Amino acid sequence: MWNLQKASKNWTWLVILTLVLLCTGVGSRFLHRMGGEAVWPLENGIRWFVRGVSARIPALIDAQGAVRRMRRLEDEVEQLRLDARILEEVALENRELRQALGLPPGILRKPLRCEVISWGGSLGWWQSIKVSRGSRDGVREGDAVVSAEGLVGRVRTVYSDASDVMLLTDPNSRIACRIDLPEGGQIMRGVLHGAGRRLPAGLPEGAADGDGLPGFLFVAEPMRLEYLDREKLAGAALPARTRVVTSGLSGTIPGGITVGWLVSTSLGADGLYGAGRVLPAADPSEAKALFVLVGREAD
Amino acid sequence: MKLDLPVMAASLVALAAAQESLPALFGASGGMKVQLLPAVAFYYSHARQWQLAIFSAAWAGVLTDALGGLPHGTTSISLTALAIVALVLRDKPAEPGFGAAFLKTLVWMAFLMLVQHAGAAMAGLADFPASRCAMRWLQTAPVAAIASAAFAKFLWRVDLLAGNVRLERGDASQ
Repeated sequence: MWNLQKASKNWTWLVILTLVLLCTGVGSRFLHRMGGEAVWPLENGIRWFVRGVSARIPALIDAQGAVRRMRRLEDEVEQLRLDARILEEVALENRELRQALGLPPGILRKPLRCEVISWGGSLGWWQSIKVSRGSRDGVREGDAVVSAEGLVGRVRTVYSDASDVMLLTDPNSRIACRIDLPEGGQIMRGVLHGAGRRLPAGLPEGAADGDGLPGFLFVAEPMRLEYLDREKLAGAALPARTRVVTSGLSGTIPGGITVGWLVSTSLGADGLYGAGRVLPAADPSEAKALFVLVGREAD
Repeated sequence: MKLDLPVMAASLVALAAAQESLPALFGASGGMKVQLLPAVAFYYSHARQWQLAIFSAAWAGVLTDALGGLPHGTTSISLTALAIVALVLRDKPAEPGFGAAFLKTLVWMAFLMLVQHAGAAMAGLADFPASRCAMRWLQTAPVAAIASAAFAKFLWRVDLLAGNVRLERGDASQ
């Protein structure tokens, strides 16, 4: 133990200022944002170090395997560049057709490659990831994050060089989706809920996800598609693993992005709406690359 | 004492980055992570002046709320309250022993997790019962307590090196 001198008056004023800010809530959004901005550089440094070490060790152990993998990846990149050029022609044709038909130009989304900096946030309560793109790259709240397999989540908080992404499996996640029915070109729309949410009363137990506890971050659990039109649901002969895609009705997430596969459907006790269980298509823990779809005006 | 603020700021940022970067240790806890930031508040509330204790507790809580997605004030106010209680109960400022630090941190974590769940539930963010907190506490609090006790020892030595605390013959003083 030791004898302590009195702290300077500056410390006392700092404490008073801090307590005033805490109790009044003034500048709470600013404080929260500054907290994220202050921590991100160190977090990024940790990720850079871990990634650098983990990338070099396999190359040291199996150098020939690393060279083979590099050549295979180069071939894939060339193929993808050719595919991208072909798709640019298709996009141009699409824009000309939309103009000819008098349709409004769509909001194009530019995929921006990003890396996962951390998983689960600071507490791990929410199913979220932090990615390495932020407001300086044009990312905005609500932007979709996708992998090659499908939708991963949407941006919840944006910092200058990083963003927090709420995964589809988070209990607070809500995504407007649709199912393209096999017959008659009909579309069935619903709202996709993340796993773990307690369902409203009236829906059968088969539509519930157990005890309503949040699912594990790395385990893909079925999600629920609610508020499906009962008449369409009753009449549709849905094949196994029908694809569920985003409907685009939210205005922030483009339509047509694969969300998952419908595992089962059931009607509620009141018969007004149905619910379905959806297996997520994308697993962010296994995705080699993630992309943020940033918006830009159509040409 | 001139380097108190830089040492405190560096500790807060480093522990926040470590807490974010480390994966959840136990999947059965629902992905809950070990909370390291309360260790800063614990050290200052047991070993240093009251102004540093309250200041560090408040900002450790602000960082926890900001990075954890909790409503503003949830952890900052509760951690500040814990620091004030520790200040009132302490006999004299002293470097906490490892065992005492371990046990006290377990108590701190239990209170913090209950308050965090209540704050999240009031904001409509929590989607699991409070009883689940007990499981999460069992799985994460012991690791947090070990980290807190070890960090208290480490930070005291950093304060010695930085000249924030001076050792004299038979006594340590500033």
